[in-house]
Amino acid sequence: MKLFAAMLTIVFGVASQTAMARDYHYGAVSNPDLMKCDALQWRGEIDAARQCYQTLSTSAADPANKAEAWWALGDAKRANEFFKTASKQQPSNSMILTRWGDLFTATHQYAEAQKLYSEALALDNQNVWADLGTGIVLSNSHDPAGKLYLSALLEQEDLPNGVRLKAQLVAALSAIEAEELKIAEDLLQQAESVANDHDLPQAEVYALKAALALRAGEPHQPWIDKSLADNPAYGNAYAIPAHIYMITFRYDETGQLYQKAVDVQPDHWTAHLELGANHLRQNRGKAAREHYEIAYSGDPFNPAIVNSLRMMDTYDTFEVLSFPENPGEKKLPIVSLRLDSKEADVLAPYVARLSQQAIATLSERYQYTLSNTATVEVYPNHEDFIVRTLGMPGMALLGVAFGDVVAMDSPTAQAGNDYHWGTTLWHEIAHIFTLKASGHNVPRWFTEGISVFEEWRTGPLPGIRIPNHVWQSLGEHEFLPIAELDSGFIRPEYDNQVIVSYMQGGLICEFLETQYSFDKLLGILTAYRDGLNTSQAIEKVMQMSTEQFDKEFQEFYAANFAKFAEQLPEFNELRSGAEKLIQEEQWQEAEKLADQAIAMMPNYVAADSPYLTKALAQNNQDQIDQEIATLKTFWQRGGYQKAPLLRLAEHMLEQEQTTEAAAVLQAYNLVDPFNLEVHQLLGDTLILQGNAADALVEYEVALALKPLDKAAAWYRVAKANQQLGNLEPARRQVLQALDVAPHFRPAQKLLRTLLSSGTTQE
Amino acid sequence: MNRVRRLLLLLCCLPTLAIGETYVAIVQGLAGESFYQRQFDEQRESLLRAATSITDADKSAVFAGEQATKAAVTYWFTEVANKATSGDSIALFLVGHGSYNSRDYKFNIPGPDLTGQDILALFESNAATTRLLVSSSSSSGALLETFKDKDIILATATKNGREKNATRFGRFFAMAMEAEAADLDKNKAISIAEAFAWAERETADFYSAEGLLATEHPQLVGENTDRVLVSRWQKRPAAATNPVLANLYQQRDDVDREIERLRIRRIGMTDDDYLLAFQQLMLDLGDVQDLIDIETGATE
Repeated sequence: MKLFAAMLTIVFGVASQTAMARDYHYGAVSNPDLMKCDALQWRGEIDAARQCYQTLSTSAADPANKAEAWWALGDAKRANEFFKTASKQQPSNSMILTRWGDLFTATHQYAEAQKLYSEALALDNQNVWADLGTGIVLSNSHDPAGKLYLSALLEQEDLPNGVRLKAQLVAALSAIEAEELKIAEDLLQQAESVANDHDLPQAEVYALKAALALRAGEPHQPWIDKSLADNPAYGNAYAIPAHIYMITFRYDETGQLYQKAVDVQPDHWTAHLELGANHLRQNRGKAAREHYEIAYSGDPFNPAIVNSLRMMDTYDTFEVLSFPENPGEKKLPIVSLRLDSKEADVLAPYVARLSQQAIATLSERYQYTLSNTATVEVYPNHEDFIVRTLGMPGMALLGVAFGDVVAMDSPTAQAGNDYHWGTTLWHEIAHIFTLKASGHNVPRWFTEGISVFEEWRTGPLPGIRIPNHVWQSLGEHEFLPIAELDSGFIRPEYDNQVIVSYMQGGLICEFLETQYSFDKLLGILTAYRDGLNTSQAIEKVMQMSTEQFDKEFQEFYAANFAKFAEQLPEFNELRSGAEKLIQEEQWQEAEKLADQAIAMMPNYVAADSPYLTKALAQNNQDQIDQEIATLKTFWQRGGYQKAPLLRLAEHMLEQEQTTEAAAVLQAYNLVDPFNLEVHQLLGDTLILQGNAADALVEYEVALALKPLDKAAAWYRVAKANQQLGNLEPARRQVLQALDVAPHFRPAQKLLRTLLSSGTTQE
Repeated sequence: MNRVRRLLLLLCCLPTLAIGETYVAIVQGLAGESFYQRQFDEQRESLLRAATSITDADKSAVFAGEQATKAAVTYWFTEVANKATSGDSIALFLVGHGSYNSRDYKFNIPGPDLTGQDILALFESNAATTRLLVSSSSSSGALLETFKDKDIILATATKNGREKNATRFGRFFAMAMEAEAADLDKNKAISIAEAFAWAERETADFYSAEGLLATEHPQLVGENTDRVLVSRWQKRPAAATNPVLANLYQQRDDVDREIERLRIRRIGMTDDDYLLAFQQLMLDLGDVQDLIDIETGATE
């Protein structure tokens, strides 16, 4: 199926016979005829319910009831028309507008839904069903205001029971996601009482209890059974706990439960979507497409489904390459790359090499051997990557790991941004190890913490790098207790909290290794594998409570890092002062201020690093040796801005420091592998060092970048092959050079040399 | 025209600019600001050096400052038209600013501007076989319509008249005259195709490196652009006074023709057979070049 982005803005006028989810309304409508049909539906008597709704869809006098019936029958278009008619007939009836809004919510058109809820509230500011709808839309849109909205609603004393129940259920799901299990338990207890006392459907309550049990590591199947006993065709009995498996990286179990969800409720389109996404996480494209297409056939209004199918269409342009190409008998390749064919020849050598390095390094450190081939997908279009990951575009992610599969942005997807693809790849591959070694039983903070820590410790960018804005946030906010650190990722309460939580996770790992030992990290990972939660893992491995752990970590941070946050205003003043002096061409003074700034934060190597100001000042004073030393320190501490790296390499080459120049140029490729001149320069440098094998890689990539000077590019490839003793390929390549430029004297001479040294084609 | 027909045509008239006389005119238009004046002066100088490398001094002309008038340029073209015959070549390089009023292109010079129609008339009055116009000005793409199907090679800085910003292409085009990297076929001469390709890439790289939206998209139209030289780095030593050298040049030209013939036959050959035959010609070419280098004292 080929789909295009324009289909994202589907409106009701396009499709007619599709089944939109009409969930439990818990009393938002009360027409006895309609309730009779609903009762059949909620008991799982689907055929009888359908017949009932069909009769009602023609016989009902009230167009609002007809709308409800058509909605239940899956015809959103007619439902929409009847709600419109009903609203015209009863313009002061705010409940019609509310239910109409609910229809838009069910069809993922949140802006329209919100508009209708607002209109309903304008008519009747006591309409708490419209308030509930607003809270649900905000929650579905991942707006932190959703939680506040629902909390405020629940504080009202005279709420209709159905509103209270639904608000409790939505709030409980949020609490389960955030691992606020006590809050979730209380909410569900209250919800169960409300449902029991007022004879409201309980299937959703039990499905959420299953999710809560699963999150708490307790048996969840009994709750699923209870939910299905209430409604045997209730797919959410499985789909709600499946969602919790998914957010805790348990992808095998996620797939199993979503499969069961669609088995009991084949028209659970969201479960089909999630099942498709899960298949994709596990590298099963065909099965993913099957479920996406089923989901699309039933719910073409869901942009996540449309986006996912469109993204899968881009796979036609991807190449799959495995490394090593010949892994040996009964051995799997170490890594399989899925690259856009336009970029494959350029990216493959570097992504393959770095992936294999990461896997070798992390296998040794974490004492874990991957049993499957790791798959790395690299997307030249950022939105495709995000859709592949989340179903919807617009998120600021760079990479993601699902078990054996890593998906990430290509450097071209982040062109113009400060993007080091090499460290992103390293970070994601570290996730593979924490996920696999823990049996997918690791909290978010720990898997992110280890990935950040491995970036700093073993990745291609050495050193602890914390952005300036994070230091600022660290100065303004307290660390979260370790037992609650996951909420910093899931339910951030201030702008920078997600990235602060990443850094806190990394610093905790740094603390564990430097103050105790690396074995403690391994021990905690093993404890998670054994099913312990964070408090239990800390207690078992560290022999202390989480409170004690938090105290020690805080002391470690205070002793080693807090000063950076404290000094930040002064550092920024020095840094910007130095930059101002550069503009005024006061080189010596600029250098002095930059030096003071560097002394304060020697690891600060972002784009506005004082190292770069200092280097510029030195350059303008013709102090080339000093400039090299400054840029070298910048690079060695993890600086990766392209222009300074190139300047450093060029200076090094001028001074015949070829080994280090080659290392700098290789570092450059981990930021921008699409610079033709860098590949040629690096190849030439490597040839000078006698490293023809690596030079050949650079020259081949240069050729893949379609250089204008093809003759010289082919000649370089031939020359490297000649040095490697690959005389026949070299002969063919030098003939390629001569085909472009017959009068190319070095190529003519190389051809003669090759023929005289043993190729058989003379 | 398909590839074979093009190659057959090449064999009949190769190399175009070398057969007859070559006439070159460089017109430097109004700069407006001193920044552009410096740039245009540099471009004019580069193009003049290039012109001198492919033709005699008396066959090239520069019109700059107050001399760059429509009358002066027309007079020069009339003079050349009286002399030029089939087999000759004529090239006009326009360095400066241009404009477009939705009807015609105007190259800005003192007094009345040169319009696209004026320039076309100048070329059409000339019997030269190879005719080349390079305009690196803003809006120069408007000439593409004026010169459509006129059998005149045309290089412009922009893709149409609506690209009106000051251009960078001209600077890179002038640099290509002396840039080793622009000599893509390594024959120590720059064809209009090579100069254009290199300047086009440099222009695109400039906008990319500066993070700017490209406001010019150079265009090249015409046949056999890889055969029309605009700059040569090594003039052939006078072969007439050295019969040995004359013979060697003849041999080298013969091998060049053999290479072209082989390329035409390539369609019916396997890759291996083609490469084997091509390899032999390359060895022959290398041998002749060795002897030429000895005779001329060339070091490479």
